[in-house]
Amino acid sequence: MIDCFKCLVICLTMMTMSLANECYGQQYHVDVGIRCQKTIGLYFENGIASQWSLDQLANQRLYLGLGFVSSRLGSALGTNAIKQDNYQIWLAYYFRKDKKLRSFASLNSGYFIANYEEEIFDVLDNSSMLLSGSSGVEYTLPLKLKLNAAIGYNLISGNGEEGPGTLYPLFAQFTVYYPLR
Amino acid sequence: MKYMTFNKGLVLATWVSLTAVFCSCDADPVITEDLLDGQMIFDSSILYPERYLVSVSNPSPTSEEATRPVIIMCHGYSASTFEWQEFVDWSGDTEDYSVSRVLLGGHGRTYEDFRSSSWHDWQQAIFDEYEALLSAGYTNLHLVGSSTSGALILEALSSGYFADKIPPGSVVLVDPIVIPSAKILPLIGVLGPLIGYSTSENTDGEKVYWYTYRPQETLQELQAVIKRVRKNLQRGFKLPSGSYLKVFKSISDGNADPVSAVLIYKGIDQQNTDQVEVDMIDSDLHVFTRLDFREEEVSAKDQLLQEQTFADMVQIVLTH
Repeated sequence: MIDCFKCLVICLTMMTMSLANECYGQQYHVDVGIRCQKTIGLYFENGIASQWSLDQLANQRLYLGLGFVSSRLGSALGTNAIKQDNYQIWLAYYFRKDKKLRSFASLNSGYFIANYEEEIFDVLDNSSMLLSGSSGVEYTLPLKLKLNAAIGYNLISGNGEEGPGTLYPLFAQFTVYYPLR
Repeated sequence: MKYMTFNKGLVLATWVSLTAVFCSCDADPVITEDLLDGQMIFDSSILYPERYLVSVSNPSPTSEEATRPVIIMCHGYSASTFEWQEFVDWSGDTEDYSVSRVLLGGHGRTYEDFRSSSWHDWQQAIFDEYEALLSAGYTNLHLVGSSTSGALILEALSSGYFADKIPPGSVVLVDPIVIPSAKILPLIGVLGPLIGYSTSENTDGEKVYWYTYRPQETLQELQAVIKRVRKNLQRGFKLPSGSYLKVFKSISDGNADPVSAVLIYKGIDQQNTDQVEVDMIDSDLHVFTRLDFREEEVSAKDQLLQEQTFADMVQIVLTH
């Protein structure tokens, strides 16, 4: 799983560098924001998110995103909830270009890891690759802030026999983006 | 215009789908009389409580009997007193302790009785026996709960039920459920009315002691109690002073996710070291202490784990 995590970090770095090269001389857009994620039936996990698009790439409909949400910034803040982190990468396709209200569909991946803290629980799965699909709407406010809401389904989740027990299938996300460029 | 047509079509299709779902879903299963769910088979503790409950079999204990450990054993969701039969058989005619097997409220009766019960009803049966034993003069009480009874006992501990009573010397939980393995359970409030009930693949032996059909109303109750316990653990609570808690949890469990043990261990604020202990058991059985009538072939290792756990439970009871 550590190797898997290293691969993910390397992939993310390479993709970001590649995107930066592609962006050179082209019109590109960057949104940064804060994300609130609620697993249906379990924790709030909050964090940050950012996504990029190029005019030349699917006419500003395709976004590549990176995010990090954790229960450390949500349900586990000052409580006994399990501390768990989600490293997220996604590719989202937005419909209704130039409209204030846009719907989108997204294919998401990444890496999940939970910290059980005690050695006696080392026998349990505590990490997993993330693979999910999500869909939602985004509304652009007059101040250019973008309110982004989605509901998603994790194709990989814990089932008591394998996978982390706190990785649930259904989740809802709410992200507020600020268009940096 | 095309947009309007598309929308109307979508609405119509949705209504047709929903109607089809509702109409195709039978609210009640067909129950035969060879099942616990039917009108003929009941848990025998209803007919012969003196064989199961110490408060009934010995309501006036001597001073020696009153201080001897009484183990109150509670079964899981949709099960019956049979779940702890093997421990009773293993104990034989021991004079070291007594066993009181509680039938959870709403259980061991008909499908309709089960359907109309709440988790408060399930829990009340544990309270009734605990209070009856205290009233009779027993002072050395211990609780053992499997699966959902683990959640019911944790709920009692977190809500302060024992605050004005003699607390249990020890609490032993076998495969307690706080996080379900079926992660779809939190949606039962939405999906439940659509499905009506779920069906368990019980063996012929199990059909007499476990419900085959699980009404969605009871699944909602199950979700309600485990959600409440999880939230209480998240906030944290203390055990009664002097009480000890031990969790035995299978590392692979298709009913109660093993991560439940993590939440229990983290969620109880220990007043002294080793007040809460966890053993992760190398088993893939839910309630691994019950081996009779399993569909899976019971291995020598399963039997060894069962006997070791029974011995550990007795050791805990005799030393706390």
